[in-house]
Amino acid sequence: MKEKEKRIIIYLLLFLIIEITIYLFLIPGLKNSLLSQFDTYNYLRKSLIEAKGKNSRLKEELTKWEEVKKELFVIEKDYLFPNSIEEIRLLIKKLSLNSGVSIGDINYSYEDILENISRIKIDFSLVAPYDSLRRFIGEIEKEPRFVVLKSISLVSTSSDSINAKVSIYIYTKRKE
Amino acid sequence: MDRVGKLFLNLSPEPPRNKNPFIISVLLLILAILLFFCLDIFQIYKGINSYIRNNKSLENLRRELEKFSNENRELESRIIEIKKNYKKKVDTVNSMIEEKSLSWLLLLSIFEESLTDRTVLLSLTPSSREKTFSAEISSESLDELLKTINKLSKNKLVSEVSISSEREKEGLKIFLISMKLKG
Repeated sequence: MKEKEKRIIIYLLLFLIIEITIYLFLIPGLKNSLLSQFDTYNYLRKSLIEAKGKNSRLKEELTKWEEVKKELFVIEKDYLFPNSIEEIRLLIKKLSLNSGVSIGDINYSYEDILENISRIKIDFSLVAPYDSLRRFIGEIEKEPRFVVLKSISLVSTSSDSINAKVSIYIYTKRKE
Repeated sequence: MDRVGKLFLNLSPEPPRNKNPFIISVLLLILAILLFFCLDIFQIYKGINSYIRNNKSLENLRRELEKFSNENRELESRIIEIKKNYKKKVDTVNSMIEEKSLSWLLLLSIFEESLTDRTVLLSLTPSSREKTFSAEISSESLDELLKTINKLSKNKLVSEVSISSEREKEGLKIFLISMKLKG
């Protein structure tokens, strides 16, 4: 072969080698960057699924709290006792008449437990046969508003009646 | 005429030679170059195309993720705000409901079943713990008090019966017991 022909062959071979090099090294590099892009895609997708899950949980919690707010409003409106001495005294009278117990000395103490709820502790002595005492407790339990029995202490007992000290709590709307 | 051949005149200083191997080699190399060139172009085109497409998807994902993250941050801050304003109220109302749901008639029934003829219930007070309460019972006899405690322990509605203290007053033994309503 002549020198010129040899040079042509060598140039062509060099060109082929460059193309093979491109095929063997540059294209796998491109594939690798595609793979890393795919990893990023997977990571973002996973994060998105987590964010969506968290989003629905948070929305659920928010809905729950919205319901709680409504329930609290209903409780405050319908189940708290009005902050009126007259109403409270009438309640004690009603409890006593309905159950047949006689109530003696009464002490009231007041406490604000929240910005809109107060608690009135009412201590009184009570004389009644055991059955009447049970009826009295039943009357308190039947009351739909927040009137709760706090404690009962027996002072003395005889065959036909019990002398007891009773404490009840009445939860009321706080006075403005 | 058929028998007349062509006459090649060699004017070169060198003798004539066969150029076929050179031509075949060149052709093969050109073919290989073209093949690899096409392969390279096809792979690069495919790769760049996927890269651009994936980049768009990634961009969309990033935007969506950012939207959800911002929404989540906003929801979290709203929940924190509501909790700050309402948590105490909810706890208070829950404890009020718990107090209201305690049945004293049930408690009395339990004591009616458990107290012996010579034992007396002196006081009954619920404690701050859930469905736990304390009671004072008295009797002249220690055995009677122990019998009562034994009966209370066996009651299916009561658990964790324990003695908190004992004292004597005017010849009577007084036990302060603590117990929990089941359920």
